[in-house]
Amino acid sequence: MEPSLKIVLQPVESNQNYQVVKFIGSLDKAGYADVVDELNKTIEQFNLKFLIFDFADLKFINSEGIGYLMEVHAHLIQRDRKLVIISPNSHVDDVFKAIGIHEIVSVYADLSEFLNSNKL
Amino acid sequence: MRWFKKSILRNLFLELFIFLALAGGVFFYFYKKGVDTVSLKHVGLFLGVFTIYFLVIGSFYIVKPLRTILLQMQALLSGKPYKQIYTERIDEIGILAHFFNQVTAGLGEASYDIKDRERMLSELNVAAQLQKDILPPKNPVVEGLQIVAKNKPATEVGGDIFNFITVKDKTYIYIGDATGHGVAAGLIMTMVSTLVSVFSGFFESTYDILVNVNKYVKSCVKKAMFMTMVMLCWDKSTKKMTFVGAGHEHILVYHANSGECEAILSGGVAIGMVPDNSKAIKEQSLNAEDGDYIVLYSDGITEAKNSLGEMFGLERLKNLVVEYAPQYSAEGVNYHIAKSLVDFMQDHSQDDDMTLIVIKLDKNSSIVENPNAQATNW
Repeated sequence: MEPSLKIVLQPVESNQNYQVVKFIGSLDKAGYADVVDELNKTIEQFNLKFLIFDFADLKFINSEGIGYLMEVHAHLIQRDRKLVIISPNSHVDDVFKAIGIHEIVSVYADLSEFLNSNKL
Repeated sequence: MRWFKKSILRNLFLELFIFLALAGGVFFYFYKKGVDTVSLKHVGLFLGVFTIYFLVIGSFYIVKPLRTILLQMQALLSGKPYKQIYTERIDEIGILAHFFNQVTAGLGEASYDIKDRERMLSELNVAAQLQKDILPPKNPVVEGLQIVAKNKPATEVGGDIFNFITVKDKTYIYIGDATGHGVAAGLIMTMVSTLVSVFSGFFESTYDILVNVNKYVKSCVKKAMFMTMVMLCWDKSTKKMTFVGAGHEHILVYHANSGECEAILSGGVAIGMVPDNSKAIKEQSLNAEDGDYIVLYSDGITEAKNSLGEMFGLERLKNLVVEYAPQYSAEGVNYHIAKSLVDFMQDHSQDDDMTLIVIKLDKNSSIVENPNAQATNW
């Protein structure tokens, strides 16, 4: 059966202090189960400043997906790192606005906006 | 020797061979002694010894162990206590005993699993009942409003919550949705319900209630768990409705004069997301007049899917409000939206809890026509 969510880790260059993880599919209970092991491993090994979740190809997110984002956010904050979200589609951004994610996690329209805002 | 031990028949042949060899030895001995005739009495004695020998062998070697196994099998089949059968035999009886031991060991594990599952199901039923007891069983009668709420949890224990609390002139109407559903969501839901009930008696504003609920929830729950919520406050003396949003779905307001349905972002941050939400939430007035409808819902409604994987969606919900609000009371609107949702989903399973609250501002406080509308179960 086709997984409902896939993640793709973008290569990191030597002078880069961020890692981009691309999400493709739906971040709900089923999607979370598909990627949880790979994602947890990535987060545990993450030693840069910004972990960027690229949601350009994320079609859907529900409260369980948001719950997971909050868990990642809290985990990174404890290690003095930061979660950043880029390129959410309108549905996903509506959910973010409704639940109040913008108050907690930095959300950017795309990678260049993030880079410009943080002077990277 | 092991080859003989693997088969009852081969073992019996071996016993027979030994017996005949011994008998042959005896006959040879008498033949050497010059005895060349055998009387009928001796033949009878020989046959008697032969029979007794094999009866004893048959009884101890076959009948008794087989009887032991059959007794244990009878006990197993009739549900009585049974024992494991210990034997070092490797023939057919040994295999039968070993098979019995394996089957009963497997049954024992299965039986433990069934008992354990029954225990957990029983505890879940208790949790589900406790949760049902927390949710209001009937819709309230509130001066100036018609209120009809319906709730349908996806699992035994749901994560959706709603309630109506009247303190003096104010009636608080709230809906909440905990992350996911199941036992963890049900526990958050129970905690929030208790805190709201207690704080609505202490504090006089919706804002203060939700700030304090958030503070206590955040200090108790795991980081990934939160609850979206929106709380309305109806003041019967001023006939005004206000609300505070905590990251919940839109509030739908159907304006009877224009026939339009407005989707208002409830705003704020979900309960349990940040330690202090006092800067993130605010009390706002809701622009609704007599004859208008207010619809609150959980995401189980808008994210319900049909067999094609399509979602019910906010637009469909708004269109249904526009279609039914001019024709029906709050009860009728709730009923027709619920029916349309069921028709839309067809055979697709319910993935999330569903709660739908329809409120009509009704200064005449018309009595709800159908007594069934008072019940809050879907």
